[in-house]
Amino acid sequence: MKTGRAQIAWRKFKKNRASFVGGGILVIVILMALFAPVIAPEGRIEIDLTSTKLPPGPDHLFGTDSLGRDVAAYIIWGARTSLMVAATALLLEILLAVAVGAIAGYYRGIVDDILMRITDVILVLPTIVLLVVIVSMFKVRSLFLIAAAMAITSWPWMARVVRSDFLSLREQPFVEAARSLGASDFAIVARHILPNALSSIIVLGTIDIAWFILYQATLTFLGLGDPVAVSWGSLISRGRNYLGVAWWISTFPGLAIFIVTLACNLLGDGLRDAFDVKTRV
Amino acid sequence: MKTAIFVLAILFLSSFFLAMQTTMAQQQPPITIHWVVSAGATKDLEIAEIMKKELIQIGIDVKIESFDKASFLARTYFNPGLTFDQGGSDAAYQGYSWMLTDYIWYIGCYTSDYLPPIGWNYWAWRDGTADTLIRNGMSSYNTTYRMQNLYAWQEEHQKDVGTIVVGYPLYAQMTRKEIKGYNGMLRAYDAGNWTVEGATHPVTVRYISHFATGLVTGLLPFYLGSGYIELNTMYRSLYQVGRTPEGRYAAVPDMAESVEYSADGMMATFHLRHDIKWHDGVPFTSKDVKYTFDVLMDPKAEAEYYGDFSAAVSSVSAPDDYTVVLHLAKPTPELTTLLMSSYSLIVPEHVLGKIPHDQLKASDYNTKTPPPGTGPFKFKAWTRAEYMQLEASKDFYRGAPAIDSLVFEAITEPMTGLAALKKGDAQMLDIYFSVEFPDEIPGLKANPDLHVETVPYPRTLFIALNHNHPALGNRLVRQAIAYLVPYDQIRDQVYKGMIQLGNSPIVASTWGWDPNALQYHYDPAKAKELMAMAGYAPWPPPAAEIPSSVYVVPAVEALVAGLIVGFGATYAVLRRKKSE
Amino acid sequence: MGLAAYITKRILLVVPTFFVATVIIFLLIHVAPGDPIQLMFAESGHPVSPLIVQQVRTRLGLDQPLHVQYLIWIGKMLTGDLGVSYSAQFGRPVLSLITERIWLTVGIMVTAEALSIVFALALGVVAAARQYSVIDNLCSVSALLGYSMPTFWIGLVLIMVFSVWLGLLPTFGVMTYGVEFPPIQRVIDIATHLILPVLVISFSYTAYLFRMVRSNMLEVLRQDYITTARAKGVKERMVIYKHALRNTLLPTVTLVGLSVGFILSGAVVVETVFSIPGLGSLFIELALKRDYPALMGLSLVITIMVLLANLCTDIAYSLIDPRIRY
Repeated sequence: MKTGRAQIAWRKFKKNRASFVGGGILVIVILMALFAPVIAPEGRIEIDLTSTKLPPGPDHLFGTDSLGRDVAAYIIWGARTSLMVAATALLLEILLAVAVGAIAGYYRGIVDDILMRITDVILVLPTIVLLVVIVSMFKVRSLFLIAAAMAITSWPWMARVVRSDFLSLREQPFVEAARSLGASDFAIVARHILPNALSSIIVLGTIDIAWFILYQATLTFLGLGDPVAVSWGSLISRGRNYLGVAWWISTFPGLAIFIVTLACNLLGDGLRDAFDVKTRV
Repeated sequence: MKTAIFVLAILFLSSFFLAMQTTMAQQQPPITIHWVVSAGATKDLEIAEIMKKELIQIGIDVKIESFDKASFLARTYFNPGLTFDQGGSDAAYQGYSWMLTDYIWYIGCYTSDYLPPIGWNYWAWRDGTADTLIRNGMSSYNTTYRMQNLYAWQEEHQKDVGTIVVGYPLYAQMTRKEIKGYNGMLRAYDAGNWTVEGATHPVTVRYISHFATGLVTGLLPFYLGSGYIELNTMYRSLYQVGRTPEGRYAAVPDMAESVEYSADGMMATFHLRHDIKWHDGVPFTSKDVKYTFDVLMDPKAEAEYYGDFSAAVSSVSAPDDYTVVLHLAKPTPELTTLLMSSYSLIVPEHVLGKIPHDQLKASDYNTKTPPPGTGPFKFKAWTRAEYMQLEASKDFYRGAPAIDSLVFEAITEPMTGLAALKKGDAQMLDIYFSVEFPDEIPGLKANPDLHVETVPYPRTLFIALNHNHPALGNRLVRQAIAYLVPYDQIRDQVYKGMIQLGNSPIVASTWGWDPNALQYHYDPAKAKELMAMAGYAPWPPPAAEIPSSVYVVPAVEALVAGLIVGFGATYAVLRRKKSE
Repeated sequence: MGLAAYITKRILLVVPTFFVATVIIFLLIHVAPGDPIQLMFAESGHPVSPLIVQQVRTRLGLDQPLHVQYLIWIGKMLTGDLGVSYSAQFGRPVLSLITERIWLTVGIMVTAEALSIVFALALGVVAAARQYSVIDNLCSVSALLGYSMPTFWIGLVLIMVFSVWLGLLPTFGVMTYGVEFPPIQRVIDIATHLILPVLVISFSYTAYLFRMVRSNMLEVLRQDYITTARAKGVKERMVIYKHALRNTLLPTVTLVGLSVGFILSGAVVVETVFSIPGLGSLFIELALKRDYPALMGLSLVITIMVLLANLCTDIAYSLIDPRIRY
């Protein structure tokens, strides 16, 4: 039986039922988001002034909001937005973190020092401050902006983890071997070291998705997001004035955020245990 | 094998992003307008979204652009006439408040003069008609002549759709039932008349102020910004809002007793009351009035009212202790109304007179402790934008107030303010709150502990259209849009009945309102007719099908995912078999 | 090296980091387009003469080149002038805004932090000591749930339940104004107003800390010296409290110090939801208005607070474990 890292991890992961549940929920959410136009035809999230603020019932599973939009359909379409933003932020974060962490960990020396100083400075600034300042800088409120801001505030942590992985992997015999065979630096990094550092990236990435979804909702709720786009945070913020009259407007989207975040955390925990990764440096 | 999985994974990821973009793709409508909304303004957004849904019927694609308040104001206030692409806006939902008894805020507000902060200035800019009518209506003391011109202005506005008037919001006056004598429209100027039934001294009343209208930002009336309720209890003006025997609002003398105009209308002589004292006991005289107006007219003081006041008044003189003469820069029929604004509350010369005008804004009297006033209440304590505490002035010239201690408190959350009123933590809730929770109003009216009354506030809500936009510049297009506003539904659903639909920028039943101006109603058929007259092809073009991409892309996604899983599983099984 | 030398070295290291932070904050905000003067006047809803607008602009030095403005700003900042808010709502020096509000926010943060630390430590140690028991599972599950809940949502739900439906707790603000309370009742009044906000922050923070304490503790319990102690016959209780706990405290201290940011974001959200006039809600309001002079000053102060917290953590850490100084 092969005992590669992936195989060991998979065996460990299989034992963790909670993680499976988490992973399963995520898969359902992704499918829901993909098939949104089919499950919840766009008409349902259109304004319908004849059926505003209806309580949950047979026609509208979670009720309607102040302009007659079906809350359940809104949540389904909102899943798209949340996932898109989280995925974009994750992509940017990984690109930045891997680039910086790999270079710092592989080349060490002055390059390492400089890069680490930069990450230190960003780590020092409180996340919320940096996020709010970046987002409020721009005149236009857009979701891409939020994704970029979140990527900027989160890449240093991942970079450090990648860097420490590289620092240790660098000393492994197979790297020596590859170098003596004349492989270029880039080839060594890409083909040998990176795949082994993948586990940390996967674990951290999963946990970060949870943060991205949470932060995006929070920023939108506070008014710094794009209120026009279909997003959970904006629905909750709209429902704030109707807490006494139409509690379902704020409650259900919040529940959605909660469930997705929970799923990501469960999955991330399971993955971390499976890969036995140290997520703190 | 590994590379195959890798490639498939990349394919999956990239098409994932693509898939998320699939919607019912449509052809691009012929007209695009950018509607700007201010982040955090819920009603603005709701109206914009409703119009987005309606206007697509005639081929107008509304793109809603949300900005923070500062940028929103910049695009609507300070970049008049610029289309969205040029840095302004194409459409926006705006509101404007008026005085009850005449039109003021200097003429730049509704002509092409200087600063057009509101939508109808886009209109005034286009040709001279609107300009001329307003200028005529504001430059003569002859009421009939004024009315003719002001009526013509309103009728022209409606026919030409200078802006699309939606209506006049009804605000709910909300207090505990023991509070009597309160008229929310007077913005606490009548605090001296408020009484609390069945209360024993000392009587304290808590008034919750809406964050948009208060609390005061500067303690001197010159700088009060948007918060002026508190200052209205501490200071007085020469004239105030009163009622005629027929029950209509009119300007009545307060600290002044009477006024005379010169024959040419360029001079107004005011006779002041003799029995008024400042809170520190010093008698009130004409030098206080002269001082206040001199400050207002000095640009170095940076008073908010500088523009308005100096457009009307050129100099002030005080021939004796109880007479003030205003030399006017132009005939000003709205003079007494001008003097009722909270910006022209009178301040004491004996306290402030020595301070150079350019240091008033930074002085302690503006930032820490206000100077004495002549109103029914005296300043006690405050924390800026949080609360202000006032106590009764027993020597008030109209009689000591019934309330001993008055506290104004500001909150940002409408629901929390409402809950406080229901619980009894506060006795009065500012009328501006009623816009935030119109659904609650019927319930509140039925509440036995509260007294809730709907009052028509002198405010107009309208959709501003930029006449410089290529499509919106066409009168027929604007009229079509006006016929596509679902007025009744907006009144019933968005405002829950708390709005009176309108036919003019001027609020119904106030001074100068023209009942004959055209009132628009929801009529999509007429709208389409008008667009056809304007030369646009009917929209949407016939037979728009649901593109199959809606179903295809997710299906492809699922297929690819299945392929990856299938390959991966086969791979794992094969490797296992190989090693056993 | 000696303690004094180490402390000095850490303090000196903070200074350049701080300056880089100032440059970042300054650039970020100045790159943003927007005119604070327009903001000042436009908010009142009343048109103002352009003569006055230009006058104010020159008086405030806003037409100077960027690097000049930065140097002026740094100079002012070092002498305690953190800038002035030009918005209609505040319109006064940032320093005064901050001194008014800082105690409230710090109070809330410290209370939440204290509550969370106590609960997290207590529960984390117990849960780790009895791994997989009912208590452990219960706590772990609750922690996971608490960790995943959006703070603002919990806040809204709690307001709905406790204030709107049940009417038990006050709905907003930090205290009841305009009523003269004797000191004890004033304290109670403030306490009832702050119960929900503090609870909401503590909820997520406790969950976060608990997970960390538990995993730290588990790791410590796996160490050799613990097995040795047990083999030597030391009572389980002593093993846990004397040996394991002491070694768990260290990473926990680090964690607490480094997660000031976490509590801060909790405070920001909670203050906005509950209308509490603290630094957090101030920060959001300034950001929403893009009142950038004030925003810069406030961001700096918050950064200093965090830097100080990190510094204290470093020093506390080195006090507990002399090996760390190098």
